[in-house]
Amino acid sequence: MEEIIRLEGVKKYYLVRRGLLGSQTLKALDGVSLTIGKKETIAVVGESGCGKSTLGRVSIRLLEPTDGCIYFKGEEITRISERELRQRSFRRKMQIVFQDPYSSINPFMKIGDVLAEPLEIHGFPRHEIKARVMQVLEDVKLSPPEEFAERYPHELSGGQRQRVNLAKALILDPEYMVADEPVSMIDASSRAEILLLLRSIRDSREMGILYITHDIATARYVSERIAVMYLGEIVEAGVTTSVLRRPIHPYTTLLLNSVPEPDPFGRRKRRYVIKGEPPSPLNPPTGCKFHTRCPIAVEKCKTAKPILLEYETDHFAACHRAEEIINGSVTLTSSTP
Amino acid sequence: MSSTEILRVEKLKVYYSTPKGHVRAVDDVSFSLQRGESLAVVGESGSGKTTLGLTLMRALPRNANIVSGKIFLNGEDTLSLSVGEFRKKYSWKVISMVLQGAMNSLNPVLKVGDQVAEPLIYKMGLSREDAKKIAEEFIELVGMPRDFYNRYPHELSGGMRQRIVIAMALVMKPQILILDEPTSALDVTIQAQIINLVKDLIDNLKLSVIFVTHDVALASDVSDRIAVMYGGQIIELGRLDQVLGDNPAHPYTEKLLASLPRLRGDNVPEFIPGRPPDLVFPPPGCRFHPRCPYVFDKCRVEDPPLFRQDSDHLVKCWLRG
Repeated sequence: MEEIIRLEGVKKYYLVRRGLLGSQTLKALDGVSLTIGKKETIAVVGESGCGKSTLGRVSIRLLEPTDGCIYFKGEEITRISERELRQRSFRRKMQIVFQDPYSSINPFMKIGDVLAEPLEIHGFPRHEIKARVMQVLEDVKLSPPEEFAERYPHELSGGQRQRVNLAKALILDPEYMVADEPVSMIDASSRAEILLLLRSIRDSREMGILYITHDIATARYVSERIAVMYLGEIVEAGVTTSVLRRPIHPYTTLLLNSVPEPDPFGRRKRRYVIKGEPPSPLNPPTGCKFHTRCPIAVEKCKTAKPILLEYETDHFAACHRAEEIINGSVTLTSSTP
Repeated sequence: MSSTEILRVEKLKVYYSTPKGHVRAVDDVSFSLQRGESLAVVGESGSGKTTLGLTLMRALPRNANIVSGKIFLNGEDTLSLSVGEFRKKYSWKVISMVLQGAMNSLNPVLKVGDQVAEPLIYKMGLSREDAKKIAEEFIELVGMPRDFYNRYPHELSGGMRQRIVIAMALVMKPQILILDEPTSALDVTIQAQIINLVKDLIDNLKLSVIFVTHDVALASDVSDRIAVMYGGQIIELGRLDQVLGDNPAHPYTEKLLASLPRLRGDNVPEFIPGRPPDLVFPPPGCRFHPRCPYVFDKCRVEDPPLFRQDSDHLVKCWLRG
């Protein structure tokens, strides 16, 4: 498979001032490696603060990594200048869609003008601009395009606005797109439409997509592979179906457990949930960062950091007890409720 | 009135006055709530679910009018009371509410415990010491150590602040608790913890709960019955197994369920074409008819009533008449 984006050991640290004298390091990303191919969507899931949005931003160089390398189609772009990023069209080829469809479109501009702007900035000829705007509106299923081009953002629903955002990202024909929680603020009835759209544009435009979400159920429909993050690190990654059907890492299992499903006979069953909340990334636990909340943590987990290993074909996990979990000699629910 | 019925709403209409005209946010809604029962009110943005909650609390904004209808609490018709009288007699003592986003509206310069204790001092006239003692009990009840009384909001995580807000709503020992999207800003892991707490509260305090949410899955997790709202109206009401069973009775419920991404199964989520109705000029006939795949002539002209299916299952659709 042709590779679009490759991240190798990417780190993003922030210095956080504490009082007058000291400062502390916040490790938002602590050594993340990831490859996204052409016509492939990778979902990154995790709780707030796990670093998933930082990962998305670093991958398109909206944020500068502290360490590690970023490759775009095999070429390293980690440290090339902003001017070069623009001149050599890297900026055009890498786009992002943000979460909030209400605050990310200029309310005083017509949709057609919103979409034409990036083309004008990139110096497209006038006659081509109109044709491209109409085409991209069709692509995101805002039709008739002539009509939508004349509308203002407030005349659109949340789902329609998010499709405008998608169109905005697509209009420059990117090869890589970061979609950061694109459906979390959309009503259920229109959410599915955005998800389906993400699938179809990936295929028709042969793009690589990084789909960032806290909602593991939506990840299933758009991604071939999935990476689960916890406190700045990938704890499990692999083919979406096998990660969701046979999760290895206890964090993934418990995350899946906390997702509610419509259940006609679910009446008030108590759920088995993860204890506590994610620890502060300013002061992460030693060893395995999940050990403070893990129901099956042993002594080793407190001291030694597990590494990401391949346990099944294209299914990786970073857990000292992975073997036992896979062969069934330890289960999560058998321990304390 | 049956002996266990605690709340009954009859033909309630609440309209907002806007420059465009009257927004019919709640338009002819009727339902009842039993003691110790949990009812989920499910709907998308603009379906009227929050307005319904605010009406029950008599906490509507100024441009809202309760046009008609009745709200009985423990048998008394409360809409005949003035807002002031209602607040004295019912607010927080009988019925209380956790507003959407309330966890972000805590006073940042007051200890959270003092905020929990406040109504005990000002509404019930307890001494500071007594109020503090009770507030600590409630902080413990919602799953936090007593000494969190002395913390400030910024020292707490989102999940903990949500627990504090729930403690505030419970401290006057109400019989009914309305929760409006109590978990929509929280991670699923924390959401699951809060939902477990709500389940415990229902069981341990014999609380009646109205759970307002856009999330059908979450609704099915905490409730005994579900009311599905669309365009200001309840379009389906029934027990979980009736509403979410294999053969959904209302086309909107069916489509809403089909739109959900799920962890298991092979169904690809579908979307509902079109958009929710304009509540200033709602479509004639059934409000869902412009988006309904089963629409026929009658739906376009005549508004269907709620048809009774088996026992307590009500469906507002001509297909079920």
